[in-house]
Amino acid sequence: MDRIVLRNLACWLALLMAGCQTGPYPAATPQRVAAVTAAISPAVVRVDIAQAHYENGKQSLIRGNGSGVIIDQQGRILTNYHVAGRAIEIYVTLFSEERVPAKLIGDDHWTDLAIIQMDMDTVKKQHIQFSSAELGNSSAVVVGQDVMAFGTPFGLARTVTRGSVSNTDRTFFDEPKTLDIDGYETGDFSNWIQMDVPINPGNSGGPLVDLNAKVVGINTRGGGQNLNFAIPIDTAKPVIAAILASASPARKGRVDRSDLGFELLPMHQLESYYNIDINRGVLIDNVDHIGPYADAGGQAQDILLAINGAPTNVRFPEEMAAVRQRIASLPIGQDVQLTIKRGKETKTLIAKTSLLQGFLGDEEGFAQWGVSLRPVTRPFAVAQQMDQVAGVWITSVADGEPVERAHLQYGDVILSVNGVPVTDMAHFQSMYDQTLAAKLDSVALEVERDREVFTSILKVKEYAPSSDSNE
Amino acid sequence: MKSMNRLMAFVVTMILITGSAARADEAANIRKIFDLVKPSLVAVKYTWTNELGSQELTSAGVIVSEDGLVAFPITIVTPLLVPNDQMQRFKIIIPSDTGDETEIDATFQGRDERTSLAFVRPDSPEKWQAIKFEDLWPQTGDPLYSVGLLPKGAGYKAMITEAVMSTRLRGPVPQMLVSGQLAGVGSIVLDAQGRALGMVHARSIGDALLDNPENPEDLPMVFNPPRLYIPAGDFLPGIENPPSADKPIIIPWIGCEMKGLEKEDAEYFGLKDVPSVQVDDVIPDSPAAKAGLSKLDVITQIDGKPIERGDLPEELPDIVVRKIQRMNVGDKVTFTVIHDKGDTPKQVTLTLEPRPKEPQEAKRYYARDLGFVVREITFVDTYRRHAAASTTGVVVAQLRPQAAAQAARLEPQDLITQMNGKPVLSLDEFKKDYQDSRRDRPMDPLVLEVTKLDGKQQTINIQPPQEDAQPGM
Repeated sequence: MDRIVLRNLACWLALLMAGCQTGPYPAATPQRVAAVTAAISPAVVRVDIAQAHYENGKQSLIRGNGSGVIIDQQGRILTNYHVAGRAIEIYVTLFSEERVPAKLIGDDHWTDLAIIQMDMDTVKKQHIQFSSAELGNSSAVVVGQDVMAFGTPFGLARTVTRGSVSNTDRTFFDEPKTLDIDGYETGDFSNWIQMDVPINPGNSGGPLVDLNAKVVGINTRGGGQNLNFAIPIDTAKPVIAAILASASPARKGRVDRSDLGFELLPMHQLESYYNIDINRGVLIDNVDHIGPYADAGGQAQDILLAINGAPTNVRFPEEMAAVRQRIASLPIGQDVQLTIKRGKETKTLIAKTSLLQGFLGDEEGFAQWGVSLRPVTRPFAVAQQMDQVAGVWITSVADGEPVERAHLQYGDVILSVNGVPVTDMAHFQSMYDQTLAAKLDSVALEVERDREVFTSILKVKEYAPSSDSNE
Repeated sequence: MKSMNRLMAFVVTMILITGSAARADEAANIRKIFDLVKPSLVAVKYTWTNELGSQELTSAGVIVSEDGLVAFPITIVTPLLVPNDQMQRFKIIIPSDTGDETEIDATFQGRDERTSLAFVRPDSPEKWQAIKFEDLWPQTGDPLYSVGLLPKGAGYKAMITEAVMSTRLRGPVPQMLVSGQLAGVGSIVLDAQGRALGMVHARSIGDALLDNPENPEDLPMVFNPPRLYIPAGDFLPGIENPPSADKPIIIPWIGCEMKGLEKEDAEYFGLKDVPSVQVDDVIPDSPAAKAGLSKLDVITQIDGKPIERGDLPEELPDIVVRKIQRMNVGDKVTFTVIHDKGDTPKQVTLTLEPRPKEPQEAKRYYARDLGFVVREITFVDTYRRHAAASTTGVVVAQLRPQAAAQAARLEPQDLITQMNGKPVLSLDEFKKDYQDSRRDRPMDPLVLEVTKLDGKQQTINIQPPQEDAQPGM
């Protein structure tokens, strides 16, 4: 039997015996803290990544690091999206100080989670030992209970910090600006565990564990002071399952969710104005002009009372995430019954859910034109008040190359290429390839900027970078 | 040898005499120009009073008619989008070399954004010495003089500067570049014959003020002198036809957005060396829409003549707009248009209509107790939101810092479409409903349904301030 496994066994034994205390909330005695540390540390990794990123129309890499927790014996590691999401190169450093390559299995910016896979060939070849941590239940976490955070803050070697849970139901709904990670929306579908356990940059993705050495959260936001936040592990469990179920060698795993195309507001202090009972319904504050709810005849200021007969009551901001999660888990592309109150009337609308998209689609580079693009998603089209969801939009341009020479700029939407409307990124890619194959001197684009649509001519041959530049 | 030396001495003496005589003549000429212009230079002061406070603004002005009409650069008025009725207590300030300056009550006549001039007239009739501008362009190398006033901090002293005509810049507004320096914004540019050729114009707001409240000691025209002026030909029509309080200027429009064609784009359309603009958006029911102009049409000529060239393609739309704006409502204008390359050009004739009301022309109402100012909805408000022109509501013009409306995250530019569940149909109705609701139910929140600039709707719930909510206050 391997030494590390033996040591792990010994740790668990120590944990059982430490203080001989059982029950859900054991006290943080020195023995217990030492035992939890010994049990969890071999499952904690440092994660170093490189992310692709486009600047001035060219791909470049951004490097960063964070923490992660090994969740099974197949070498899968749970971490934050803002640590490993969109990574194209990953290395993990284990408790044994061995450095192992890893790859991204899948990610989900909405919950700020990502799963990476250690390269098991390397692990076997080098006889590297590791252990995995057991996931607990965050629903059982109570305010005041002791918890410990593991990670590699500032890229330092394994570090343990300790404190207690301050709030189990923290929402950021009230903040004037919605949360995002590099522009990718996050935090819509769950509340957070707030704790006074210090969390610093680099701690992100590491586990928050209870004194039974069970993972109850993933440390995500903090400033090293006494106001820090973790994603509850109960939020992570279905995300892990969905990512693993959808991942394939060709495509990274993802979480598909439903969307109805509206924004909600808690009813608190609006009940008398809308003449409705306390704790009933949720206000539909904004309706996307393109989207399922608009298609169903929905209007802003409708009050949503129930979805498929089950009530949707949101009086306070803390209750919002649960209703959003309910909508997200509806079957995609299917009819749902929405019971609403509009003025004095109560009525039922039938809406067909659509796949939830973020504002930002995946970014791709087109080196011969000197441009990077993202697809026009439904939220992008809504925010730009476009008439339809079509085209690709410019995220950066390379100086002196065709797109920049044509005076196109960040945010411009390419609607058509040589008169053919662009449907999506794959379609654009094929037309781009065709223009290159045909060695066209110039290409006519139809471009939308704010409300205006104009023609723009790319001098492809004249201004394209020399062929040895990276594509 | 001796005679040779004498001859040399004579020649040298002659050169010295003629040289100093020329300089003396020149100095006398400069003094003559300075004295000629000085009596026509005044300062114009007004109090900008809005819902949240007031401020005095002072600019240089020029007397342009014998009955005392004063023209001053619009710079200090328009960029602030100040509504006419917020500009009050106009004064014409007449500087004096020996005593205190004199302040005369005056009345605002209006502004002409086509020439970037505003006008004010003294209330008491008197005979004034006016400047007569002439539409003349100096040649490169011609000497120029500029006479203007120093700021209040320097006692409104008149100053003269010397410069040489350098070159003319092309663009929506013709500008003359000089080498040397000109006096401040609002000063007059003259040639060596004392003819008034133009005026120094539009710089940043601070530079345009004669009494900069932020920095009263500042002398921008001394330490950072202007080098550009506008030739009189550009603004003479405005001086000859100034607005008056009962006859404001009505600016015509065609109702479409345009973009100047880049060189490559023009060549693609077969329009090499033809300055052209492409129609990017046509506003429904506008003259452009009625005439059948459509998106992506390319305009190559106006009334059979090429579009005047700018230094950059971006300037072409402004050049077209300025040309249209100098026509009259009801005039017809014909565009030569193609839609695709190789098209046979067609003629599209538009009839000019008055430009829709601008935000600063809209009526306002101050909802004082909750701390926000609203104004009537105007064309730009619906256009920017992609909303129908028939949309009703009122638009938030200003918020009092720290007041209840701002605390509820109401923002400037928010379009209020409903108040307490009732659609807002007009400013008057909003005002009445607001006053009723605050009087009858002072403790109730005010619930507004707003559309943000990006088109998003939002419910704003304004909680009344506790102490102000006492009945009878």
